[in-house]
Amino acid sequence: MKVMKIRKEQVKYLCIIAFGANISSILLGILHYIIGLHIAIGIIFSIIIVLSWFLNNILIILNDFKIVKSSPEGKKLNRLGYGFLGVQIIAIFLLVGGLFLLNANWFSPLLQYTLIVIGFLSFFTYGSAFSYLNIKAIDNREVWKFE
Amino acid sequence: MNKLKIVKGILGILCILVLIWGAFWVYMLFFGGGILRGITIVIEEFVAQSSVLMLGLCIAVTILLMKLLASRRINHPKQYYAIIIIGFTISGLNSMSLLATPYTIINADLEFKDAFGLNWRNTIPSNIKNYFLQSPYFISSHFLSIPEKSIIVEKDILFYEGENISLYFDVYMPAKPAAQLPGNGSIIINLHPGAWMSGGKGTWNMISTSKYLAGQGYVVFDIEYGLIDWFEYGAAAPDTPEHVMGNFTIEDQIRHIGIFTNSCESEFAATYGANLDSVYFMGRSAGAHLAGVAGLGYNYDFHNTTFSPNMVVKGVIPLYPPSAAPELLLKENRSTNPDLYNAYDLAHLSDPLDPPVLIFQGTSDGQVSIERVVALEADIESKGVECCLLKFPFAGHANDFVLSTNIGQVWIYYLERFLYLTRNIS
Repeated sequence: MKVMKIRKEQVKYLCIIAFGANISSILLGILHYIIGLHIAIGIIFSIIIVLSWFLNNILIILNDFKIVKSSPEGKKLNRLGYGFLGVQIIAIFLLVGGLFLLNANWFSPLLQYTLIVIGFLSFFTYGSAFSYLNIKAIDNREVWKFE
Repeated sequence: MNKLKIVKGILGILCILVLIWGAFWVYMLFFGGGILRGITIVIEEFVAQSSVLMLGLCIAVTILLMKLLASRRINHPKQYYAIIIIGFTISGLNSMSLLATPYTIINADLEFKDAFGLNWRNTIPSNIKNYFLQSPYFISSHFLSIPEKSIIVEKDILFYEGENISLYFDVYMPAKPAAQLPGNGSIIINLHPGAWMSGGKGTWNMISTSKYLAGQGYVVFDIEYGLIDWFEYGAAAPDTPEHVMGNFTIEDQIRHIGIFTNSCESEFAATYGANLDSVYFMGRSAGAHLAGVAGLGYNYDFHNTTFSPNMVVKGVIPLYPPSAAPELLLKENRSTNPDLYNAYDLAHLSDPLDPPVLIFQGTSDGQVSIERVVALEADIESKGVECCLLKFPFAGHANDFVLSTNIGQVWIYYLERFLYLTRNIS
């Protein structure tokens, strides 16, 4: 089976774009609540959310395939990947809970939005940190297995 | 076996359980709860609304499985890739409701063109459009919800006592003067679901929608009506208050709604700044049937003493509506008293003087089938009533619970436009 070769520069660009997309998602998320719904921001924000979610997951998969897990830094990134998946799963449950509870008249509106905001921000904040740590480790020959 | 292996084993099992859950969600998306019945009838109500998040969950656990099974990638590649392909397939199938959103929008647009003309969008002034959702769907709003506008809510206001029951309503009003908003104080009488025998105002009558509409300048009355205590139904709605239960039939429920219209005319419209010249009946499931009877039967001889004569009904908004009353819930059956049955049959009540109708219906609804609702739309239109049917692929019963999903956003986008367009029809 022919395996596609991935170059260091490609991973570096992916990490940089993922970092930028995660930070943009956080900023646009805050803007969403401050200025309300706006068509241009809504379109850009929707594209960036999908992009950052996609890139974050690609990065976790790339880590799994291309990292030397026996090296101390590689082990750390591998564990952070597990952590990111855990955060992602928890964030989904927080979002589901928050969105469904918006209809509950027995639940505090503050708590409803807190669940949504924590769910949303935790994913993109972790994503920013994860992609940043990957950028930092990209030049470390002990961490990445590039051909 | 060391601790790490045990943890990895437990995580792997949990991941597989989540994928089985995801596969069940896929089944429910395609077939609803109509085949399996039982508890699946209730589960169906949450499936399509959470399928986008289920997509995210299934992808996360599939990647987690990839990491957990990394050693098998070399030793047992077939097993490894088979599990990954299954995981991503289940994830992909959970995106069907999301992927169907463009179809929903195209279909809704065609329905509006049929009802309000090809140029319907341009009939809404741009200063009004500024208050509306700018697009039928934003993924960003799906996760962060639609920001709420400033509104006033008053709860548990008594409007009727008698027959051993007390009936209350909640009212949602704009904080701004209604005249500055698209709704202009139009009244929306919102009737809750629950198979005529359960449920109540509030949580299960989609508070988010009531709040949203209040923010648009509508005065939403979320009202109770007497519930039938001798009828049993497999998927009863929760939170049914004791003070509304009695030995009733559907005739009594319509009478209770009529009592509210009279109280509204004499007292509540003035109290809450509501506009009696622009009234809508909106309801869900059994409440949709009652909304249909009230809205389409307002000018029907059989009901001519039931409702306030001083309200102008501008539209009817039934969501997942049964087309007629079950015979056993009326005082007499169809063969002994066909006139009575007809007075609670939405198609029979329709006539060219009736206001336009906007219907919400999911195609995977196991309680009210899409075929019946399509037939209802055709029957209503054949009687000369403008009717828009918004079909939501893969959505089940009560799938408008979360306002910000791909289903909820599209629904609200067309609902607010329908309200504005019909409010201005004389």
